[in-house]
Amino acid sequence: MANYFQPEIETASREQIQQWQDERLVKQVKNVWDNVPFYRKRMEEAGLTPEDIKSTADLHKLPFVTKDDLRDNYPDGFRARPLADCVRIQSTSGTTGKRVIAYYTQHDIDLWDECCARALVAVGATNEDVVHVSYGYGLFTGGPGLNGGSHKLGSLTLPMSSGNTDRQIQFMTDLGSTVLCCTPSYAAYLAESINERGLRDQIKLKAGIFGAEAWTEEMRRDIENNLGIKAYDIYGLTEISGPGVSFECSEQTGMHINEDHFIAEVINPKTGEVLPDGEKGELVFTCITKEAFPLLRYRTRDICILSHKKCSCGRTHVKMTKPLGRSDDMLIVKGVNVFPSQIEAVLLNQGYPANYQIIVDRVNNSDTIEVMVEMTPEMFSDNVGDISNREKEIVAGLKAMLGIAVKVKLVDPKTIQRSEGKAVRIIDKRNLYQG
Amino acid sequence: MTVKQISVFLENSYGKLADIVDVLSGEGINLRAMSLAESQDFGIVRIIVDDYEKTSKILAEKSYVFSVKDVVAITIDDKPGSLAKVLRVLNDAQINMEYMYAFTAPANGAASLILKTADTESTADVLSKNGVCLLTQKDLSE
Repeated sequence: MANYFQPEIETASREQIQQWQDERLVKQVKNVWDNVPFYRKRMEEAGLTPEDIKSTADLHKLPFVTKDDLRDNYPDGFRARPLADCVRIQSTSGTTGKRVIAYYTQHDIDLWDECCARALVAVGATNEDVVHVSYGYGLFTGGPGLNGGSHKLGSLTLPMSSGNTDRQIQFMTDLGSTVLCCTPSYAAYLAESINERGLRDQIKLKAGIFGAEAWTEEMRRDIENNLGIKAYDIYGLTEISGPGVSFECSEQTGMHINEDHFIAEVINPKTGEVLPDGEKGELVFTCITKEAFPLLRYRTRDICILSHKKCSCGRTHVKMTKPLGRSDDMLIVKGVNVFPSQIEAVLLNQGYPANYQIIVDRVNNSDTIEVMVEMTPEMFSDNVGDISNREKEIVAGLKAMLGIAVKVKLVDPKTIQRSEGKAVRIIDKRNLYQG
Repeated sequence: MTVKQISVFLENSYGKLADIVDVLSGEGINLRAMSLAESQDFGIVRIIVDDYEKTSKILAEKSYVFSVKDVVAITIDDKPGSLAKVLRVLNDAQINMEYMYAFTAPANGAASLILKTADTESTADVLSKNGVCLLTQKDLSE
């Protein structure tokens, strides 16, 4: 099945991809040196000139860019083109600190659309499909990204945006939507609503592209079963362009990164050292074709693994796993920064082992935080009042440490979820990457 | 003269009590008496079993958090005033009751009670001196 949007690019040889990356990187470094004072300053501090970057082999010499750098240079310190050349901005929402504003030239929009079109074709879409985009539109990149990709492909695009479930389902049944694009949690909700209304046999969906938040394989199976479709992941971030930086193919075993536009590295988040294929680390992107907002070695804080193994879909571009976590374990709950190490400290201070799990959720648009603490012999008494008092002490300790009210639930030993033998400390049920 | 009571922590989740009862019955443990104490978030199930050593081993293997405590087990006539008499004895001896629960007698259809006080030894002592019939570990194992 020839399910490529640009076969000559998507199945290019490794040598060809390498050559593109080498040429484009050199050009991009020269571009930012000439047009973005921030980069010139950083490179000078590192004793570098554009001539020092001759190929991707020299990429590691360049300093990293972090989200703090973007915030410090708000709103346009990273803009590499005059306003006359820029046609759009998108932005990440900021609960604390400043927003990040990403600028796009028409060229940048085109390449972004192209990436999303590749993602759509990879899930089997053609110009005969009806692409139902239920991502939010606006500053958030989800809606505009898939909308653009669908246009590029020539599919009929339904710019639904999110919400109004009845209308979503009505358009799905009346217009015969075949590909659904939204967040996985919204897909799960729509699936539930469709089945509740008994309309499952009236929808024509065959595939879905679900991104912008973390989701599990279990959730994938549920959505696939409940809608009778194949569900695919997509990855992206506003800083790099938006959804479509990488996307899943028929194998559903990772997301192909569009390497003709973005160079991916995985680094040790502590040392900054570049890690080889198969090793888990922080994902770093370098935009080699973007004009208005070209980030070089941008630290995503997403933890993942890269693989150059041959893929059965025929694509040659490197695959990344779903993000497996964050390199900073900070949570923002009710606008307050929470580090798991603070919770650990409270438990240890009170003489208990730190067997805990933090569950963050958002109920009626308000954050909730609950800490599950495994019962230990130290904490146990055969008297309910004694245990309740110990529980209250933990609640008080957490409140003093964090400044917000935390619910504590005592649970049976060894019930906290372990992953690869390591306890899973944080379960964040909110939309992790929404904006 | 005291008997062993096992208290097990139970988180407040669906099926937790059934789980532990299943585990014990699967190993052939006979529950002589049982009482449940609960708060909003968790519970403690207190049990008297025919073989507390084996039970402790099983619970440890299954990673339960539990403790083994001495409590007093008595058997009294199943008629009005029997319990009042026992409580008066303890009151006179200034022994505070922490909790108690009743169960079916191993023999004779008499009423039996498990008593947990701040001072188990003196409780057994004072009851024994006042002619209350105390049960032994052996009574409960049969």
